[in-house]
Amino acid sequence: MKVRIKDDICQGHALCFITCPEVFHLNDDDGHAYVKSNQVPAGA
Amino acid sequence: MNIISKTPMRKVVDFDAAYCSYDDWYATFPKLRKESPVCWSEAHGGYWIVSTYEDIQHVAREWETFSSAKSYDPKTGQAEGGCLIPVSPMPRFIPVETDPPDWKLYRHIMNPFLGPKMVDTYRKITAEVTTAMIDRVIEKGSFDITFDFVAAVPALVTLHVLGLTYDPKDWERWANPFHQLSYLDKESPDFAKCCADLAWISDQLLEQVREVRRKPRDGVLSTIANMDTKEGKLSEQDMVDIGKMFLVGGVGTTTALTANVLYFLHKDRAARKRLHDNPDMLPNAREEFVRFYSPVNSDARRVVKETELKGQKMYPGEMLLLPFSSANRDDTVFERPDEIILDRTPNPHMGFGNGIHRCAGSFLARLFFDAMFKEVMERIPDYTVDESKAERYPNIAQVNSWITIPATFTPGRKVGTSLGLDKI
Repeated sequence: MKVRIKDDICQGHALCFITCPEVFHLNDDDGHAYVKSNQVPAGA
Repeated sequence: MNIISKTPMRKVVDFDAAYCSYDDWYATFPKLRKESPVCWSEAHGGYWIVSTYEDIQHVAREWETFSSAKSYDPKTGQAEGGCLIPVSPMPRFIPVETDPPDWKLYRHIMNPFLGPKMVDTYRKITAEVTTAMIDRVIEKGSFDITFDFVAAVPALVTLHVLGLTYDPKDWERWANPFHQLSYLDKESPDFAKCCADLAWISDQLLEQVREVRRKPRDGVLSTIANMDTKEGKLSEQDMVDIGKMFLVGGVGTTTALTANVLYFLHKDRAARKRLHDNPDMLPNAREEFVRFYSPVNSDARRVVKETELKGQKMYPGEMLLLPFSSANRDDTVFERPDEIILDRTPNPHMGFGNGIHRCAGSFLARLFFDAMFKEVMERIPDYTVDESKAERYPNIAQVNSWITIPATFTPGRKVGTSLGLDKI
């Protein structure tokens, strides 16, 4: 499975980060999420 | 123009959801969801009420049709739109009373201060303030859960995080007008006094914005005031409106949640024992409390494009009440919705709203709630409420909270903190 974030749709609620902090990270400047690697690790 | 022909099928209900007691609210919404899921109330110049999970989610997400934007002319006192019914004669709250693209600019500025990482840095001060507020009362063995505790802690921490200069003894002056704004009858003389108290807060904020621009200091207000955005520095009015938003979000909401939970755990001792003995249950239980009590009970929108919901035609300019608490009790989404199920999961509640205006402070709210809850469980686990003197807000349409909840407990010893707040 792969994930990506569409920046123009993201509303910055950080719910993805709560659900799966292994995959999603938050930008310190604007609080919006980004993915470091779009590969979702097994079991995450 | 013939207004009547415009609205031939309009489903009108004799119910004012925008000014409503707790009992009326929870007695009426189950009927609305079944019989009139999209209906029109004639109160306050008229507004729509939607009540199912599906429709509330739709309205919250379709910001291009259902606008949050507010305009206010201080010279004439004329106001339009915004998130309160009736429309209130005061400047907008930023960002909840804006639409994109303004919304995006403001949320980008505010989000970083409210994200999980930043909220982690507020943990220590929250714990200290919470401990100090129980220190204030623990030797006495009695307190008002509302005034002495669940209203005081979020207010003091919010003022600290914002970096405002304030006298801790005055915390109520910074908080009470926001509590009153949500429950007072907006056509009553008390409301005029509340508006004057809010104007005092705005004046204080303006003065402090000017101060921190001359001499920057720690705290959210100074950081935002001195920030270079895409549009340059924010205007003084924007800064005041953002400061007010941090205050109203910080002081009102978690107070409502924690007051309701502590009253519930007074009534249900078995639930209290379960949570006391199983602290791991707290995260799920907390979300269930947010669902069940929906501290921010409703919001409002203004129709800006002609549209239709469940066969009801809506026209530009019409206001609409968005009752998140009704979504949270919809039995097509939640099994046994009128019961508190401490380990309910999944729990896709809308207690923090939905769509672009979803609560920006939910992490802070969880921090405040957890800190207050744990402090009570550890230090005054046997508290008992004097039910005869406990009093809900007379109107829970906007915020579902309490005016007073007097309680007693077995006295204990002070723990002591470095803040000196136990003396206020």
